Amino acid sequence: MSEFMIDRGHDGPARVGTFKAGESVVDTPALIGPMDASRLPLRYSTQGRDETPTYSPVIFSWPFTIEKDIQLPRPIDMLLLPSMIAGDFLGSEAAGRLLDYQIEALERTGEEITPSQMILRIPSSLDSVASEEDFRKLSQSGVRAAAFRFDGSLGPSDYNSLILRGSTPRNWLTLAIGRISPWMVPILYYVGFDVLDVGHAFEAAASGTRLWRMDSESVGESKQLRFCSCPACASLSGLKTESDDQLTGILSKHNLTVYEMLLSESIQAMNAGRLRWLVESMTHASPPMGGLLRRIDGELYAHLEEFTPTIGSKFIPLIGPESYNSPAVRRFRERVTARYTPPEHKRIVLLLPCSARKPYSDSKSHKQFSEALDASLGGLRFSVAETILTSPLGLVPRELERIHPAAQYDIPVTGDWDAEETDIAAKALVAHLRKFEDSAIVVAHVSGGYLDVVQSAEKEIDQSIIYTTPDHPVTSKDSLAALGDTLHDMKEILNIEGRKQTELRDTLRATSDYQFGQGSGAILIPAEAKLRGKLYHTVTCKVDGEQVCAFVSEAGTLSLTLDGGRRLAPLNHSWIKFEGHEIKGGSIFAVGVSEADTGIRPGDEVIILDPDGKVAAVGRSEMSGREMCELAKGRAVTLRHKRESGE
Amino acid sequence: MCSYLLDGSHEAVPGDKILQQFRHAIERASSEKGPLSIKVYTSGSFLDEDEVPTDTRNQILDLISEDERVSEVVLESRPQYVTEDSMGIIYDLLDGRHVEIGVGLESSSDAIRTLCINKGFETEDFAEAVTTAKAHKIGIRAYVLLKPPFLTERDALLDSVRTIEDAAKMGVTTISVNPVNVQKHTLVERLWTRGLYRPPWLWTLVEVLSQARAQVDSSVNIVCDPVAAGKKRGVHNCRRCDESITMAVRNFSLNQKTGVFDALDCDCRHLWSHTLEHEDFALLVHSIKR
Ligand SMILES: [Zn+2]
Ligand SMILES: [Zn+2]
Repeated sequence: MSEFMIDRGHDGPARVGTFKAGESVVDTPALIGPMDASRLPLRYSTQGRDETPTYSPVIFSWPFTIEKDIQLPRPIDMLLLPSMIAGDFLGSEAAGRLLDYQIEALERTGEEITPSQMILRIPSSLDSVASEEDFRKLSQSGVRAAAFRFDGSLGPSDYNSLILRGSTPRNWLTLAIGRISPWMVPILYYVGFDVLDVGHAFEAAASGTRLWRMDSESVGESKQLRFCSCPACASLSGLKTESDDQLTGILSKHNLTVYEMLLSESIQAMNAGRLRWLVESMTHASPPMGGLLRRIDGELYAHLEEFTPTIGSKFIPLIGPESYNSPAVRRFRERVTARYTPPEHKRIVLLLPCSARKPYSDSKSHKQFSEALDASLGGLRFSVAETILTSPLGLVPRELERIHPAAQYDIPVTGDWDAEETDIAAKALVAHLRKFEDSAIVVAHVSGGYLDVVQSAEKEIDQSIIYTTPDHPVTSKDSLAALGDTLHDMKEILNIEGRKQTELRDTLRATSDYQFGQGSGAILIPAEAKLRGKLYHTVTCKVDGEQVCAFVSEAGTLSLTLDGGRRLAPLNHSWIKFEGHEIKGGSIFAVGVSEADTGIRPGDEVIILDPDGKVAAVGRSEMSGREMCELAKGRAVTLRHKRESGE
Repeated sequence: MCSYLLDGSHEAVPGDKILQQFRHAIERASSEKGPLSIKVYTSGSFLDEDEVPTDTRNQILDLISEDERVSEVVLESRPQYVTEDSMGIIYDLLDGRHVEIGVGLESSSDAIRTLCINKGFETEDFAEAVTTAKAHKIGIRAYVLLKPPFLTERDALLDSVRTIEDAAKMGVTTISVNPVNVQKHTLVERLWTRGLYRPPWLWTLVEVLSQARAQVDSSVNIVCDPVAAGKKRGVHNCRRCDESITMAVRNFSLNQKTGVFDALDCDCRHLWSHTLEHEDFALLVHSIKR
């Protein structure tokens, strides 16, 4: 009997966990290597062909040429089901048969080996849609692990293995086996692999090759060896005098170290919410690596996004095109388009450039824009929908400038935009402006690349656009004066009436819509709500004297009270059904969740319902909705408020 | 010794044409001195009436029996044509000559023969053929195929060793190990061009021969004359050691002494032993670009 448990921690589908087999416990992610790699926690071997070590678990492959008498030496070992090498040549239909063959083999083994000790080999030519049904059935019969093969070319077969990983049940242990280069480690971990085969460390060593983080070095051909401080390489100085055996030994130790370093770097990056950044930076290892990430961002978006947290690290570096469609970025763009609704009283849309400093309001340039608004409009400035153009988020309504990742992203600010960035922002702008009346006026206070964005969207914009100062820097004295003049004129032309301060209400409602769906803001923060506080700190919202939510500047999100949860519950958004009536302690564990909104992402504010559908608690999710249902262990929600017993 | 080659083609060839071809070959060797060994290779079975008409077959056998120089004859056949009748005729016509029927056993595993080689008989049929031939004092030369497609390097190694042991137990007289080479317009070639097949390593062949020689009774000869050895389409290692190992294999075939392998060594042995272990686990064809 073996068991795989996933712990907390998320940055995309990557996770940490523990794999228990018999009495052995292996922390994942883990590396697996050959029998003589005694420093590794997992080793591979072949049934009836190799010796068994005295300790540490072994994954035994079952050759299809051995038809019966399969036994596992110890309860801590696992069995890799039989398949055929090069079988993928025969196409996806044959791949289906290879899978069936394994299922038959699994049934043949009888009671001595349980399905939880078996690892399915997923043919890389398997059809990913058809396989989901197979996976579901196998899950029911107790299978909990699958191995996916990579040939290291990063071609169609490797790509398909990654896609297939995306449709594997969340609670399965997944292995990436084959020729895996060090630079593939972060991306494989990112898409959710738990065990990585480092056989290539030995293959390379046997070919006289030292592997590095992003490339490799042929030791025999190298005139000047690259410096390495690892203990194995310390004895490499007198290289020419080493015997062949010794050299292979040194190189394999070095190569193994490189894998260990990259895995550890990946785990740390995940804990710091920077795994995506690491994955993006590794795309520079080779063009196929770059191409692979781009294709995965397209095809596996749903899988990657589902496990990408909605809150995260303080800084998110977005350096190049590989960031344009990262899940957090694309989700932000899609949510703003789908969920942001401008308040009715916005008559002017002011387009502004972004600033390096976040939130934008804290930057020097935006303070200057704010002064110009105050000077020209005074209390009427809240009729202006401030919209910040930026890459690669597209645009950020002022109300959402403190939300993740708008408040955290960091880009090289050069003012030069490439065609893809311009296109992304232009599309976002067109969608944004469709939400305003045709009679609204668009004031574009932009220049350079930002101006290109507006101009390339112009044809599809129905409102009139006024460019304040297209040929000059936006913060020059003249430009700011031109902005003031334009706004002043607009006040007259649009005949804007006096209005109260609506900044707090607008921000809280927009934030609510972003978190809990369109229309939720008006329900959570009704007309009669009393708002107190500062946006750069905290704003509380009370209805009939009871607090319903609070805006916390640091996160840029709303945290709910039980009353707030009750107001939102009828919307069927961000809900979790809890088994039982009384919640003990400060958390809810996955085992106690009977059903959950599949739209929930790690980091979301969630509403916990009891079996009668009554709000029992509110809190912050630690996993995605589907995980809460699929996983047997792990913390699902950290509670913020819960109902007192008897309430 | 010298061999004649009657090359079979895939289309049915009329009997008189076969006979003509055979006469031709004999004439070409008219200046050779005995003792000679004749191997009749056809694409299928020399003993299959549909392929070689009975008359033609008997005429060829007559021609051989008339030639005093011939001491050894190898005829090829599938096991089902090794019958009481055919063995009786051969015994009668070639009495006194050392006769072997070459049969492509390829593998003693029915699963591998069916899945990887696509041959339509069972190991039992082969065993029966051996018994039948033996009853007529005719030997069987078993052809063993080293590394058909869809096997890992170690699957292939172990299968060949086991096949040789099995064949010896069944009573064959000679075992001929044939490492697969990549021939044009074959499935193997299609796999090979896609990086999904690598011809066996010479190390694997050496291992098969050594292990088998240690297990099998010394009365049974184990021979190997590898085609395209050291070439990328044939059994090969790393290029540097290919020639010396191929030579050792040929020496072994002559003297049956595994000592010829003792001194062999090369850097590439590490890669080969990695391949043995890792291919089983990853089911990924390990081939290096040459
Ligand atoms: Zn080193
Ligand atoms: Zn070599």
